[in-house]
Amino acid sequence: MQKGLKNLFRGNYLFTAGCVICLFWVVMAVFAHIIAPYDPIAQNLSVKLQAPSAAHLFGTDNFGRDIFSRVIYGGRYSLMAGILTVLIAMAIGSVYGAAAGYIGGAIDNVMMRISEMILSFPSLILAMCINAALGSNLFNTMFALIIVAWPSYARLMRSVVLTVKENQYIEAAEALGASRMRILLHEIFPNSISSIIVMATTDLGNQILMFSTLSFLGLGSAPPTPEWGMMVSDGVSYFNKFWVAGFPGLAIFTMAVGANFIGDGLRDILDPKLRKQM
Amino acid sequence: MERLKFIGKRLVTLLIMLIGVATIVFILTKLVPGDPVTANLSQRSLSDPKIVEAYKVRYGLDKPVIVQYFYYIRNLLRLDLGTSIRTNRPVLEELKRCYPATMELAIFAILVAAVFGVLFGIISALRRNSVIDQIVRAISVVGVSIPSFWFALIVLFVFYYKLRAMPGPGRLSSFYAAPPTVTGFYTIDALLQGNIMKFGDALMHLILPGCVLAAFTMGLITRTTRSNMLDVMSTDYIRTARAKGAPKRRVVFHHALGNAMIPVLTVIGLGLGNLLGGMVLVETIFSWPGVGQFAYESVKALDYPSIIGVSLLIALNYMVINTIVDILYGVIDPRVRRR
Amino acid sequence: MKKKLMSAILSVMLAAALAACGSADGKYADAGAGKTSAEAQAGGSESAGTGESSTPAAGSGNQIVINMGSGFSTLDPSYVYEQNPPLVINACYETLFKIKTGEDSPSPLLAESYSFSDDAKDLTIKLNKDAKFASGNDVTSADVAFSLLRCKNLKGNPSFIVDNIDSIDCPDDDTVVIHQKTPDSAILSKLCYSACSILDSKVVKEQGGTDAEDAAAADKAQNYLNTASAGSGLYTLESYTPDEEIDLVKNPNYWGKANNIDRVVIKLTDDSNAQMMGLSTGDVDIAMNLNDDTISELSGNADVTTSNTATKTVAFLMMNEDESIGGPVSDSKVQQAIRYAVDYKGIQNVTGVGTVTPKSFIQDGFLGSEGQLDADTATDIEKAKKLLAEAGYPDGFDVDLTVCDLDMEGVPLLDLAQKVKEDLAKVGINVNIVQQNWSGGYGDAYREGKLGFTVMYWGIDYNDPNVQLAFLPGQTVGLRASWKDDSVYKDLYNQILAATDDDTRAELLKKAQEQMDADSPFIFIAQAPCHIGYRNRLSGVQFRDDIRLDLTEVNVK
Repeated sequence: MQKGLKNLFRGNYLFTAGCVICLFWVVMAVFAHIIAPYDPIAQNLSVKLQAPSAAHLFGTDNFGRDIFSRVIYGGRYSLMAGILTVLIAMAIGSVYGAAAGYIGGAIDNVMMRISEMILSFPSLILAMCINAALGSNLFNTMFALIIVAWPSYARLMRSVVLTVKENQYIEAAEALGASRMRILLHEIFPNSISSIIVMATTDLGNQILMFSTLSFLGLGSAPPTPEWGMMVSDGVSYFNKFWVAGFPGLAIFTMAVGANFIGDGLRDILDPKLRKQM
Repeated sequence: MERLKFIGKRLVTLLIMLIGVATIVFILTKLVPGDPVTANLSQRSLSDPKIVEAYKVRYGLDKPVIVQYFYYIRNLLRLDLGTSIRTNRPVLEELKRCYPATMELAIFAILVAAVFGVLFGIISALRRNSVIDQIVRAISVVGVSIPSFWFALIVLFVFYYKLRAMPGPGRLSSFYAAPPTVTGFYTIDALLQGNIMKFGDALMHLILPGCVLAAFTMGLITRTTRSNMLDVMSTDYIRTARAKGAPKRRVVFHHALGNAMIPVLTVIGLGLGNLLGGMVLVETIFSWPGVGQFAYESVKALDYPSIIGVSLLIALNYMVINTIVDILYGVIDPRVRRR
Repeated sequence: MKKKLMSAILSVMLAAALAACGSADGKYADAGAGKTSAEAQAGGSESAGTGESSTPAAGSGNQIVINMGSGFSTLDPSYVYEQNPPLVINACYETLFKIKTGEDSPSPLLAESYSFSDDAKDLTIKLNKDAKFASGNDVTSADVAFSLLRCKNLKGNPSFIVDNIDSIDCPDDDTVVIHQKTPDSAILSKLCYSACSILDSKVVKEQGGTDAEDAAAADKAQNYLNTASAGSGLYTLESYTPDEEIDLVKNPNYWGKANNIDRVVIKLTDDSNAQMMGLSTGDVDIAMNLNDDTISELSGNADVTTSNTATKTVAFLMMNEDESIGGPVSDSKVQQAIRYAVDYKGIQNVTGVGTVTPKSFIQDGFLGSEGQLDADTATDIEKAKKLLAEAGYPDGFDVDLTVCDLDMEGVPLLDLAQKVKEDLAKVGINVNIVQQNWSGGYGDAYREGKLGFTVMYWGIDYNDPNVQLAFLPGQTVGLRASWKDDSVYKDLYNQILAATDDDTRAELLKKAQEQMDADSPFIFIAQAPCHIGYRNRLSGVQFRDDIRLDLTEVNVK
C-alpha cells in the first residue's frame, strides 16, 4: 500500500504539486484565525491603498484592511463553496443520470434533453438570473452553481450505465437468473467510480473559478466578508494599485490550478486506457 | 434518405429545445421579486400610479403572466423578440449589433487557441513524460484554471497601463470612427474601407481580450490533442507504418495527425460555442460592445426580452454547433445514426 | 535531433510573440499625440457609412472626443431622465429658460420675457422671434405647447415635472400662457429641465408623435428621436449606437452664437481607468467619470486639467419610523445617537476628494441651504453612547442594513454601508449588511416603505431646492421611512411652494431644515464629488449638476 502511494507521486510532478498546493490552502483556511496577522474586516482609513510592505505583506485595500489577512480568510469560503457544490451536484447528477440510463426509452430521451438544455444554456447568465431571483448570499450562489453543474455528472453516469447494460456479461448473468437491478448496482459502482472521481476533482477547480466569478460580479456574501472574487472586483476601480486585485486573484488561480493538477494526475492514473499504455 | 431523416430529426429537436430554453428564462425572469418597472422607472415616477400603469401597458406587463408567455412564444415563432426595456430598441436589432463584435473576438480567440493548443498538444504527445511534456501540461492546466476576470485585469495592467504596448478597452481607438458596416467585423470592414491603419488598430484591440478568452479553450485543445495523439500513435496502423520503416516525422504529420484531429475539431467547435457564453466577463472588462456585455447589462436591468433574446442566441449558437458536429459524425460514422 | 526541432519551434514562437509586443510598443506609446486632424476629418467623411447624409462642410474642422458613463435608455427628451443623457439633450435641444453656468437662477433662452399672474398660477411667456429649429422651421408657441403636453401625456419618467400644468394657451405664434393647477415657486427651474426641451412639432408629428391624452400608447416618435434630433440646439444628432457611441454634428441652421467645435464624438464607457488613460494620451478630450484614484494619476500631467466638484447628489441613511419595520432605529433617540456616531470625516475619505457633507437636507449650493457640516467636530461617540443608553440600549443592538447594487457618482453604496457598519460598531450597534439588487426587490421594498434601515442616495432632477421637499413627512421619500403627514410640516410645505421671492423662500427653507435636524429619520452623510478632466486645448469645460456639462460653452482655444 505504502509502495503504491509512493508510486502515485513518483514521476507525477504535476499531481504532487497539486496535492501540495491544495494542502497548503486547506491548512490556511483551517488555521486562518491563527495565521492572519490582522482582523480581516477591521478598517483603518489612515493606511488605505498602501503598497505591500513589511507591515502589510499584500498591501491594504480601499478601507485600509490588510489584504494578506483577507486572502487567508477568503480560502474558507472558496473551499467550502467548491467542495459542497461538487458533492451535491455529483449526488444529484449521478442519481439522475443513472435513472435515465436505467429506465431508457422515451423517458431517458426527455430527461437527457432537459439536462442538455441546461448545458447549452450560458451558465453564467443562468446563475446570474437565479441569483437575481433569490438574492445575493453564499447559499443562493451555491444553489445557482449546483443547478448549472449537475447535468455533466448526469451525462457521465448515464453513459456508464448504458455501457454496463449492453455488456454481454450482464446478459449472461441475467440468463443465469440474477436480478437485473442487483447486477446493475453491482456493476455500476466499480465502473463509474474512477471516471466520477476524475470528473469531480477537475470540476472542483471549475467550481472554485465559477464561485469567484459570481462573487466578482457581486453575487456572493455581502461585504465586508473576505471573498476572493469580491476582493478582485474591489481592485477594478483601483487597477493601478495592482495588489488590490492581484493577490486575491492569485489565490483563486493557485487553488484552481492545484485542483486541476490533481484532477489531471488522477485521470492519468485512473484512466485504464492510458494506464495500459504505460 | 436515412441521412436526411436523421438530420431532420435533429433539427426538430433543436427547435423544441430552443422553445424550452425560452420557457426556462421566461419563468426565471418572472420568479424574480420586483419587476422591470422598478428597474427602469425613476424613484419619483414609481410613486405615481399613472406613470407605472402607462409603463406596464407600453411593455405589455399589465397582462397575466400566462398571456404574456403565449404572446412571447407566438412572437418568437415569427422571429420577433420584442423591444428591449433598457434601450428601447428591438431586441433583434440589438443582437444584430452585438453579435458581430462578439463573433469577431470569439473567432480570433479560437484561432489563437487552436494554433497554440494543437502545437502544444503535438509536442507534448511526441515527447511524452519528458520535461517539455510536463511544462506543456502545466501550461494547459494553467489555461483552464486562470480566472478570466483576473487575467484580463493583469494583462491590462501590464501591457496597457504599465508598458503602454497595447491599446486598452474597446474595439477601436477613440480617434478612429467605426468603419462602415458590411460584415460587422471591424478588421474586415476596415480592410474593405481600404484603411490599413484602422485594420491594424482593430487587430491590436483584439489581441488582449482574444488571448484572455483563448486561455481556457487552449488548455482544453492541448489536452485533447495530446491524448488523441497518444491514442493514435499506439494503434496498430501507425505501428505498422513505423515498422515498415517510414520516418517518424512523416508518420506523425501524414498519418497520425489526420486521425487525431477529428476529435480535436469537435473540441474546437464546442469551444467556439462555449466562448460565446463565457464572454460576459471579458467583454465587460474590455468594454467590448458584444453579446456578453449586452447580457450583463440586461440582467442588471431585468430587461427580460433582452435576457431571453441573448440566452436564445447563445443556446442556438451552442446547439447549432453541437448539431453540426453530431450530423458530421453521423455522416462519417453510420453507427451513430442507429443509436 | 527531434529535441532540437522542438526547441527550435518553441523559440521561434517566443520570438514571434516578443516581436509582436515590441513592434506595438512604439505605436501605442505615443498614440494620440501623432493622430492629426486629418484623422478627425476622415472620421467626418466616414459617417456616410452610418446611413446619414455626409456632414456639412466643416468650417474649423474641430472635433472633440468625450468619454462618459453609460446609462442611456433613450434620447427622446420627453422620456429622458437619467443622469448622463441631459448632456446630449442640452446640445441638441433648447429649453424656454436655462440656468447659465455660474448663475443660480434661470434666465430666458427660447423665451424672451415672462410674467406671472397675480395668483402666481398663470405664466405668460413671449418667445424669441429669431429662434429656429435645425430643420429651418420657426420655434412657435404651438411647438412649446406640443412639447410640454407630449412630455406630460407620455407618462414617462420625467412627466412629474409638468404634472402641475393644467393647460396651455397659444394666443399667437410668439406667446404662450401656461396655466398651473397650484402656484409653484420652482416653475422656471422646472422649465430648464431637459424633459421640457422644445421639439420641432412638425417633424415629430410626421414621425408619429402626438401630445394627445393617449400619447403614452399612441406616440410612435421615440424610435425616430433615438436616431435623429428635432430641436433648435447647437448640434444635431448624427448617430447613436447604444452602449457605444453618440455622434453630434454642428446644426447648420443654429440661430444663436455658435462655438468653434464642429463635431463631438461621445464614447460611452463606465471604465474610469480607460477614461484616464485616454485623457493622458490625448485620445480623449474630456473625461466625465474619473474617480478619486484615477484623478490622482493625472495630477502630474501638464496637458490636462482636472476638477473635483461637489455635486448635489446626496447619500443618506434612512431609518424607518414604524417600529414594526425599523425596530430599534425607529426610536428618535437612537436616530440621534447614530447621527453622532457616524464618522463624517472618514466618509469623505471613502467618497473622495471634493466631497462635501451637508449640514441638513438641503444640499450645500442651493438657495437657503444651511451649508456644510463641520466634519471634524460632528462625530461624538460619547454622546452617541449616552443617547443609546437613554433609549434603553446601553449595550447596543443588532440591526440589518439593507443596501442595493447602485452607485452614487461612481461610489458604490456598498462602500458607504461598510463604513457605516464600522462606525456603528464603535457605539455597540452590530450592523449586518444585507445585499439586495435594486431591480431584484430592493426598489420595491424601498418604494413601499418596507426597509428598516438603509443607505441610499438622492440625485436632483430639476435644479431647485424644492426638489428636497420630497424628504418631508408625507412626501415621496418621507413616506418611504413611514414618516406620516404632519400638520406643522404641511403648512411649511405649502408656504414654501407659494413663496415667489427668494428671501422669503430662503427663510422658510431654513425653518424647515432646523425642524428636520431635530426629528427627521434621515441622516445626510455626503454630497458626492464629480471628477472630470479635460485637455488644456479646451476652454469652458465646467461641471454642472443638471446637464453635467454645457457643450455650447466649450471651445477649442
